[in-house]
Parts: sequence; structure tokens; C-alpha cells
Amino acid sequence: MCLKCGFSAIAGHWSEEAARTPQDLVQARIRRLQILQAVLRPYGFKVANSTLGAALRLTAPNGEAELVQSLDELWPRLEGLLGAPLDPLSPHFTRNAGEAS
Amino acid sequence: MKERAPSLRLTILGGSPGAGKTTWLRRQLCGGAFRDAFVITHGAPDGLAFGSDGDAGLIDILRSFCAEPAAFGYERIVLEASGQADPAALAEAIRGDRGLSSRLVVSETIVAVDALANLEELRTQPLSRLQIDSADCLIVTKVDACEPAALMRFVSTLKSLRPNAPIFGAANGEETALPWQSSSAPAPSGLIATTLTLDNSIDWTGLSLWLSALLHARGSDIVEVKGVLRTPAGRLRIESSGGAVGRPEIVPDRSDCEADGDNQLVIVGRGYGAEDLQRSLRFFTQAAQDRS
Repeated sequence: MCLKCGFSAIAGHWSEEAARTPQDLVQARIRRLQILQAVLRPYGFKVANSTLGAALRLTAPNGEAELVQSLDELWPRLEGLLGAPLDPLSPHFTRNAGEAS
Repeated sequence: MKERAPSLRLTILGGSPGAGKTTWLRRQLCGGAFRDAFVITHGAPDGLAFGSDGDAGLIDILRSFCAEPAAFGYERIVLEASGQADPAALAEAIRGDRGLSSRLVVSETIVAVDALANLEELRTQPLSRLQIDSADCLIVTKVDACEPAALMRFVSTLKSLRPNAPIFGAANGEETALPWQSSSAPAPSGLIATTLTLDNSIDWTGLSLWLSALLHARGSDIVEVKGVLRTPAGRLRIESSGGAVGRPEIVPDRSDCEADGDNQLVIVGRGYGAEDLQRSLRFFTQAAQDRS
């Protein structure tokens, strides 16, 4: 358990395994944020990198904010807040996000 | 960031005595499969290494091999298990061994099942059921000697026992089409294998975001994802099964010829078209590139 944030200590997410140096990791998290902002903007969500490691701060259209620790948590939380499934293979998904970016 | 030693993948080949494990493996080796592998045959008289005293003896063999400098020349071990072994218990014993678990990753379990022994063996031999229950992939052997209707029933039963495990037929060790595979009709499962070829500028962040979203949304339809991708950290092997991605491993650099298959992601699943995957992945990776 981290004494600063209260989250349990977890190993890094698999999506960050390509980072060779701490700088790579920071860059990857910035790019992750940029992509997520583009993908989620049409749905009214805002995303920000948390100061707590790999966590993301997710703000729903109604202003409700949540902290998610990894991508494994992100997608189910998003669907929960949205009340609908998010399917990246759906033409609706890519069209929406593509138009908004 | 601390550099990690490359892990060895372990493929376990299991199946009842006489199921045709050795015949199948020999044929695969002759055909050039498992070129990167060291082969261990456990409890058989003609293997490259021997052991007949159960899992404990086998663990010792694996420890000895992993301690050898020569082990660094291999990417994988193929272990032909004894016909009396339960591959799941074997995998558990390896994972529970502190020394081996840091060096070996059990990547897949292939189980050979005898088409002639058929449903009777499943009913009467609990070990056969355990072996099938542990399989990531099933090889139905001796299909040439089995009546098509009986074979169909048997394969359907296997499919119901292991719905996510691909099933292949073999005769004398050689891959042979199962009844529905020999016609133009699609396999009953509707599975398709799609190879996504990624260019050298592949954006790992976009790819991993896309894959995490895909597996979340379609995890029950995606049977398997695998590939070796070139990343800043080196050649990274990525694999998933059952909708979850295992921790990617760094694999050693190989010659240009052997690295030809790099940057290709194979996705086996159902309920979508190859173009759906390509369009969706392009969207995520281009989003990354546009904003880099």
C-alpha cells in the first residue's frame, strides 16, 4: 500500500513494457493521454494524467471525477459512466472520435 | 531502468500414453517447427533428456538446463510430458519453483488426443479429462483411421470441453484437415486468424491502447493474440489468451532472416472482419502519430 495515495502497490501495466528509460515512460504517458483525449472527446469525457504514477484522472460529462490506475480499469469505468459499451471495432466509435479530433 | 534477462518460454506437450505425442512432435521438428527450441522428452526412452521419477525429477532437469550457459541460445523449451502427467499440475509445479519461475514462462500447453480412443477414454480415464482441461491447443491424432461421423462427434465434444482451444487434426504426425476443414464451409467456430503487419514506425502506445480496448470489448471473441514487435526496449513478444495480455517479454535479437516475422500481430477470433481490425488499429495509431 502506498502511504501517499492509498493505492495498493501494483506492478507496471503491460502497455508500458516498451519504455526503455524513465524518459520513454514519461513520453509514453503523454502520448497515451493525447490519444485518449482524442478518442473520448466526442463522449464528453476529459482525461488527465494524475500525479500518482500511471493513474489517470477521468472526468465524466456530469463533472463526476474518478481516478483509474490502469487501462484495465479505464474501459470498464468509462462504460459504467457512459452507460453503454465502447467497442473500438464499431464504425460508430472511430467515426465519432475521428470527426472530433 | 534495470535490464531484464530474457525468459525462456515453455511449451508443454501432453496427452495419454500412445496418443501420438512423439510422432506429432517429430513431424513438427522435421518440418522446421520449434526451430528456436530445446526439446526435452520426459519419461521416454529416446528423448534428448530423460526423467522418469515424476515432477520432482523433471524440475531438476529443467533447473539444470536453465543454469547452463547454452540455455541462453534458446528462446523456448518444448517439453514432451509423460503420458501419466497432468500438464496443469506440471505447470503449477514450475510456477511454484522460485528458481524456475524467474526463468521459465509456461506459454502454452498442447495436448494430443487419440481419435480412436475417442469418447470412451474421456468417460473412463479422469487423467485424459485433466489433460484436455489444461490444453491451450488440441491435436486430434490418427484422424485417418477414424470414421468421419465418430470423429465429428469427438471433436464437437472436445470443442464443448475447451471452447477457446484451437483443434487440429493429425495423421502419422502430419497435419490433416478435420471433416469440416476439408470443405469450403467455414469452421463451426467461425474463427479467423488475421495478421496485422505493422511498419517499423509502429507506435507502441497507440497499439497497446487499442489492444486493451479491443480485449475489453471483444475479449470473449478474441481467442489469441501474439506477435514480436520492435520497440525502444527491444524485441518485445506480446501474447494474450482468454482476453488478458500476459506481461510482454523481451526476446533476444536474431538474424535478419529469423526476424522476418517481427512487427506482425496475429489475432485469432470471431465476430468481426479483418478490415474492422485494420481500420480500428489505424485509427488509434494515427491518432498517436498526429499528436506526436
